[in-house]
Amino acid sequence: MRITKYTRFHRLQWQNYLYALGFVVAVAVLCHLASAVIDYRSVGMFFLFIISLLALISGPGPVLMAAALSAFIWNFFFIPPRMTINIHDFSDALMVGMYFFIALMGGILTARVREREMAVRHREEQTSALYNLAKEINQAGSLDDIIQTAIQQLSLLFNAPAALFLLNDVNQLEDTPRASGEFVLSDAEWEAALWVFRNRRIAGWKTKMYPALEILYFPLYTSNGAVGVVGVRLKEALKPEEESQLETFLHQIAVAIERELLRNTVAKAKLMTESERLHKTLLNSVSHELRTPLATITGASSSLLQLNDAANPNWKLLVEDIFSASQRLNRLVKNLLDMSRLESGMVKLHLEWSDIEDLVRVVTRDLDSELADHTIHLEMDPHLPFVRLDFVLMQQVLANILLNAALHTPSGTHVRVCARVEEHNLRIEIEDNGPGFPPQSIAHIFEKFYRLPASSAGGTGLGLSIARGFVEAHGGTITAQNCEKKGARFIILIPVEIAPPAIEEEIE
Amino acid sequence: MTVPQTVLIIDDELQIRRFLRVTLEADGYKVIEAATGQDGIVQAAMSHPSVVILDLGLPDINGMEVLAKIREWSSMTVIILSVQDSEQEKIAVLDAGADDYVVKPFGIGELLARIRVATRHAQPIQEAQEFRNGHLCVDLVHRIVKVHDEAVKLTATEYALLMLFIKHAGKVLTHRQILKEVWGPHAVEETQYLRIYMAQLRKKLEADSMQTRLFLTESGVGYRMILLDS
Repeated sequence: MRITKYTRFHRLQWQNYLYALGFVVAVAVLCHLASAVIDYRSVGMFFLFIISLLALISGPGPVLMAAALSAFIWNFFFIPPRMTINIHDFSDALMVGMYFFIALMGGILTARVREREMAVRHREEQTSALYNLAKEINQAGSLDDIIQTAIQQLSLLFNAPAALFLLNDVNQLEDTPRASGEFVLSDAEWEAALWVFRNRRIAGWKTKMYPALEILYFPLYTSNGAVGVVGVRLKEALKPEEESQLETFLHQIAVAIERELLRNTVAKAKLMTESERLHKTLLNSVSHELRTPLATITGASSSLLQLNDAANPNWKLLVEDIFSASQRLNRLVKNLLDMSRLESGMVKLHLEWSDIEDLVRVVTRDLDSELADHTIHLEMDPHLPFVRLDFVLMQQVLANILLNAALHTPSGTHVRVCARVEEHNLRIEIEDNGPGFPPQSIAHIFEKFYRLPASSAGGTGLGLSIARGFVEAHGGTITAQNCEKKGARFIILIPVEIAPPAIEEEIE
Repeated sequence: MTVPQTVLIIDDELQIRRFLRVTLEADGYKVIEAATGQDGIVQAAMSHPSVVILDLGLPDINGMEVLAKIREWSSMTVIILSVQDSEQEKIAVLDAGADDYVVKPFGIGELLARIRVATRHAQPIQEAQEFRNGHLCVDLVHRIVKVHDEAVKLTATEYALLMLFIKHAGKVLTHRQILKEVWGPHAVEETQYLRIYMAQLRKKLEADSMQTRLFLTESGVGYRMILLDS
């Protein structure tokens, strides 16, 4: 930060006195050595030259010292009679007097111009620091970032450790400040911070309230109220212009924090309504889906108890009902588990080189009984390379889509599954020649718990949503459309690595 | 008339034990029950069952521990029951020496088939000269493989792979187990080798029919050679 240069300049002032002394003595020695060829009067010119140079790099103090010292040296060592401070010639005396005056005025004026320039530069630096702060705070993505930036900038700007106490959820000040460097909070300091927060006034170090503390506390507030407190461990009192800069700074920080707090509140409220809505849908849907098969199981098994006769022709029917209801229940549980895995972000891809034909065959075999009334056609590209994907998840995706077809199309429907690789994408299409989607439903079918109006029992409204979740976990997309002639079509596109691992050919 | 085979059921759920007992006894097995892991280990040691059906979620000790204890002194058939449908768990129990696993809820038919396969292996079949399974016929002496009575040429690795499946016909083999047996211990992570060879082997040996497949992919776990009805 450029501002630190300014402070360094002030701290090194004593070095300028050394420079001044060195310059004057050096010129005196050179002039003495050259006294055979130069007139004692020109020595004054050399001194004047040195002093005006000096004025460019140092303040008025060293210039004054150099002017006085050089006037004395000139008089003592060079102006006859030498080695005395007496001057016999009146014009020489006049010259020394005027030399001293010119050196002084020239030096002081130059130094003052420089000083003013420094002040301008300092103000510029302040402005740019402020601008930087504003920029960085605006770029900060989160509350944590804003606080981090604010503390960092504050401690840089005032070259002192800073800490920030933030407002918490219940509108109280948090007693764990975020700080730069070590910042140990004593009880008295915490009390002071609280006082500042409540009264929105400065307190602490060298102020009327809590003057004994080493830390100066500033309130962070906007027109809507206090959002926090900033503590700075200053080494020296602030100058008036620094104070006003700090004020602007603090205001900026307060506004940024307030904005972020508000945003968090809004997001939280939104999440609350969303999860409440979800909760309701979930309860409605799940209780329905759970109760239906449970009703079958309870009803059928109690009938069996009543009948108490295995020879009754209805016995087997009831048992079959129980079996299929429990399978449906099992499917629902699996779907709910998959959904919660997706929602909690627990899905981790286990990518491995996979044989897509094998994948499709595994799925169709698993759904053998569900798809018994449908005809399945596989159209696999015979040169389909191995692709890297999560075999188990993709199996679930295809199973859910095929199950969807089994549930929503009449028996005798043909289902076509085809897979090929095109332009680094694995493309799997699943289409049937059933009734297709009602046009207004296509946009919603991947939504959680969405069921087609008047759809038959058995679905959970979760299968397609899970399928989409797993496909998206692969970075892919899944879309649904109606076929040109008749039926529904799902298209899965998954970006895949296609570099079948090379294996050396064997010869028997 | 052979001596009935003994099945030990280690499961804390009374209902599960009951329906297993009813069906297994109807199928001609002698059934012993244990409700805890400790009791299960004791029963296994005392009555030397041919098959242990072991639930992983036991109240006292983990089923994996019971498996490890049994495997310390016996190679009796152990079939795992688990409510967790996770591939990692399946692989873990198989690699720990279980012969097979069944995920709860399961149909009894599935379990009976697994028991039959597992016990079949308890008897030595090494002396057989020929292996027949559906459309597949392998002359183990002359190393001739026939599909629908037509000779098929296999590479050395393919043949080794097929032999492993024949040795464990009907049983699930994890990727790791297959890779270790066929390619050696250094290759246990190279599952892509296995997938390529499996694809080749299937191309050569599978019948065209979609439903009857010799080699079943146990997704995320491994492969199993199905015993087809001839």
